Amino acid sequence: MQEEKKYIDCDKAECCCDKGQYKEADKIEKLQLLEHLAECPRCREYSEKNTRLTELIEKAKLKCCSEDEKECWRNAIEEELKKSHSE
Amino acid sequence: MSTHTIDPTKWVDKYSDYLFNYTIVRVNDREIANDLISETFLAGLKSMENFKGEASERTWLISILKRKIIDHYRKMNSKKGQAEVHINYRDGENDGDWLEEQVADQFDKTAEDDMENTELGMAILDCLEKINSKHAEIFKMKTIDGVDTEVICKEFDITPSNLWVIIHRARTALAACLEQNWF
Repeated sequence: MQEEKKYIDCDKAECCCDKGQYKEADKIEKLQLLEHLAECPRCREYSEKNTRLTELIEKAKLKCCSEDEKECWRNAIEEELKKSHSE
Repeated sequence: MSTHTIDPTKWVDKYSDYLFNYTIVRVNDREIANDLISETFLAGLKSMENFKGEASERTWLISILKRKIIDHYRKMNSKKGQAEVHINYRDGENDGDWLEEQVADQFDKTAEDDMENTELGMAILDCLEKINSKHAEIFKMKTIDGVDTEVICKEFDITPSNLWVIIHRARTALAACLEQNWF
């Protein structure tokens, strides 16, 4: 079995950190990130900002329209534009 | 001098989430919010000639939406026949307490927090409008709607690695933008 690369670079660490915000980092990625953060102040700062961003997004309780709702509006606008062009 | 242009074919993709979040906190009903946004788009189409380009398209649409929301509440009030305000100014030994009882709740911490969260939400959507539209769309699907990585990858025909690069770029841009406009 191929041994997992122990020390990861900053790009990989940032990617692991992003995945972690969505709870999609696996155990190895979490460990690799922790090891990296212990030695990299730049990525520690990124990780803190990233966590803060997640907290802000959760706090904002944003909602998105569904694709069906959007499609309905697109069609209504399109029809109205056709009507105005044919008049 | 007119600096902004108008393109109704892009309204839904560019502004519907912003308009939706603006409306839902004010009417607290998804169906009514959707109706008001539909009416806003249609009213916008009808008055396109009045768009002078002095404000952005979105600001112009919001001004129409604001009027729609006010009209909605006017209609609701006229249906009820009278405003439902019951303040008892004279109530024996509790005389004088009415101000505290009736008014304090309107300015409580929850209301302040809600207002701040709404402003924060609009600031986030504002910042997302400034980044690559595909990145913003993918970011919203993943972060706000919580759509699975696999589903997004299929829909946009990208690999999971591509997705995480896009998410990273969107998060970095969003954090930088919020740092300038929010913190």
